[in-house]
Formats: sequence, structure tokens, C-alpha cells
Amino acid sequence: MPIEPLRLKKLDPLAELSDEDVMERCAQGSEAAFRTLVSRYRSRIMNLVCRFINDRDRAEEISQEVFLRVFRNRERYRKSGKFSTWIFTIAVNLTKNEIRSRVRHRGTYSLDAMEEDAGGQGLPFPDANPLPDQDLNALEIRRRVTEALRKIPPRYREAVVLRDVEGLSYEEVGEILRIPGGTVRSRINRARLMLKERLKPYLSVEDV
Amino acid sequence: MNCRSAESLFSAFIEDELSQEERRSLESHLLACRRCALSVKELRATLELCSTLPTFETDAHFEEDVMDRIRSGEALRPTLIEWLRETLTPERLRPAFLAGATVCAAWIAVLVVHPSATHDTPTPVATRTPAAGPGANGPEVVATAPAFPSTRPDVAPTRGTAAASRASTGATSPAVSDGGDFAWADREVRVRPAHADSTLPNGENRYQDEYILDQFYLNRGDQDGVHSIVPVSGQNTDDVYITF
Repeated sequence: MPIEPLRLKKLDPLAELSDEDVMERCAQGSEAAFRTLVSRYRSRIMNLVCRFINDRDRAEEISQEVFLRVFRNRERYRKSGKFSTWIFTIAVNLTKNEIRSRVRHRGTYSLDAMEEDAGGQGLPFPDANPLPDQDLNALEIRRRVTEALRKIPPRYREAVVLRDVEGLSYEEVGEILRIPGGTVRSRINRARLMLKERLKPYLSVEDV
Repeated sequence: MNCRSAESLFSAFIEDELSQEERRSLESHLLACRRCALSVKELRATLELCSTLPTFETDAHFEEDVMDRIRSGEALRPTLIEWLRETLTPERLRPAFLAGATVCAAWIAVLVVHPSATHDTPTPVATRTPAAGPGANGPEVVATAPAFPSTRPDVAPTRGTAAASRASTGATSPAVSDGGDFAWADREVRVRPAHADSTLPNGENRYQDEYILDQFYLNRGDQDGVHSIVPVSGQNTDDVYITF
């Protein structure tokens, strides 16, 4: 029986490092470290921006801009803070700037208006793969949840997205939005109650 | 606990972040209030739905696009706010601040050592464009007195007169200041502009614009009831119209 040659698996030295350590390497000029951060956070940042801006192309541009800001300010980053908080703060600020810019041009903030800006097609739902019939209902419910999320006021939406979609802690949400912990909890609770009211027809809850 | 205060605790209850006392209080309310109990269940279901939301993926070339923009340098130019933040750092501002403070200190020292330095240069206090002749529309002439009377010993406070002014103004630039301590020196004396009077034939000027360098008083005609403005120097000023 032939003996297979021993293959050594090439290990990525950055894979085991925390975000903060990778960012430190990036600040020292490592391109590989920066690429690692991009690959770790690209989806999360894109996801966050898309929850606020109903324009996929623009959301992609803003997401790129987030990473450019990270690169540009890499020496400004302090390791004492969490990297995720830092990059999400940049993303939220850029998204708010985009919304303000649109409000200035249109005079009002409207998701429908943003849909028009995006060429009238709106944001395509992420699940592009065809689904079996039994999953169509689930797809429809997801669509409703996405719509319900977009309909609640921005100040509540940003809090609940960071908490329930991105999974950040209350402290991180408060740090990113620069609001105290009590306000964070209050906004998130209020946002969830708003979502519950909008999604009530799709909730299968048995009354006792 | 009422329904309103219970509602504000729903999220913390679901995430098990309530204190023992709050939890006990809320649980007893939920046992009694069917509506709130249902609401908590619906909230749990809502959170489950939110957790199943799909993610939006970036394009496949996202990373390379970012790296291309970095390599091009085009996207690395700082924004205005970043540039200001970079420029207005204490390290950069310190030299400018020190230089400014040094200049101020030097100026204060000069003022202390030589306090009259700023009063040596006579300042023209009024300029005048002489009327080009009858019918010319000259600008309004404003004679402004110096704010601080001269203290030079070689200039005695003299009372100017209209005649003296006419002599001193000449035909060119007649800056006039006698440095006197007259009361009117604190205010402007305006001479009515030499607009052509359309009511007069040939657009003739009724008033000649003159520099007023004298004090005037109102001469009340007690007997005939006719008042007139009379200069202190005794000159006749019937041809001068004064507004204060």
C-alpha cells in the first residue's frame, strides 16, 4: 500500500488573531492584515448599510468607503477599544451622512424616494436562488420582516439593527450611537414592539 | 405594576436582564394580565423572525475594488473634517500660538514704554471733494472730528471759522482739523448735499457745500419771531443749511 506523502497545511498566521491584533498589524503597514479585516467584516458592513439605504450599488460604495476610512485612519485606532465598535461607528456615520445628503436634496426622508434613486427597482431581496414551494412562505415572511424593519423610524431602526441583526451588545450599541445605556435599552424595546405590531399577522402564537 | 410599565421591561425580561425583584414583579403581572402575556410571546416570535433575516453579500470583486482605490491614492485624500482634525492638533497649533503671544507681548511692552507712540501720527479726519461748480451733484460731505483732541503743545486750540475753512480747503484735498476742543468735535456735522434743485432755473444749486468749522447757536428772534443760526465767530450763515 503506497504511503501518501505528508502534506503540511499552510496556516494563515492572522487567522488566529483577534480583530484588534490584526488591526495593529495593519497599522504597522501589513496589507495582508488589512485584507483579513476586509474579508471578516465586508458582509457585516454591507448588511448594516443595506438595512438603511435602499440602494444596493450605493450601499456597496459606502461599504468600500468604510474600509478606506479604516485604512486612512489606521494609525489613529486605539487598541483599547473594540475594533468592531470602531468600524461600525464609521459605517453608521457614513450611512447617516448619506441619509442627510438625500434629505437635503429631496427635502424629506423616504424609503420610496430612495427606491426611486436606485432606479425604481429597490433593493433586491438577497435570496436569489429559486426555492421549493414549501419555502416560498418563509421567503415571503422574510420579505415582510425586512419591510417592517425599514418602516420603523431611523433612530429606533439603527438601535435594533445593531443589536438584533448584527448581534452587538447594548454597551457597543450605546458607544456606536453615542447614547447612554438606558436610552439604548429603551429604543431597542420600543423598536421591537413596533416590529411586533407590524408583523403580527405573520406571528404564529397561540393564545393561552 | 401596570401594563405600561410592564411593557417597558419586555425586552429585558426576554433577555434575562432583569433584577430578581423586577422579574418577580413582572411575572406576577403576566400571570394576571392575559394581554401582556400574549405580547411577550409575540415579542419572542418577532425576535426569532429577525434572527432569520438573510444577509446582503458584497460583490465578488469587493476586496479588489477596495485595494485598487487604495493603490490609486485617489480615495485616500482626507476629507475636509479629517484635514481640519489633522491640522488643528495642539502640536501644530502650539508654534503659531506662541508666535502670536510673543507679538502681543512685544506690542504691549511698546505701549507701556512709549505710550504716546500711537498718537504721533496725525490722522486726516475729513476729506472733501469740492463742488465742481454750479449744477454739479457732489457727494454728501461729512466732516468728522477726531475722537481724541490733539494734545500737542504747539497746536493751540483755535476756533475755526467758515472763512478759515474756505481758505484752508483750497481746491484739492482739504483735510481739515484744527485739533480744537469744541463740543461739536464729538459729532458729525453734515452739510446738505449739493443736489441740483429742480425748482430753481437751470438746475442751480441752492446751497454750497462747505466745511463747517465753527460752533453755531440758535438766535431766537424774540421780537420779530424770526430765528437764525449764528456762528460763534459772527459770520453770517444764511447760505448754510445744517442738519445734526
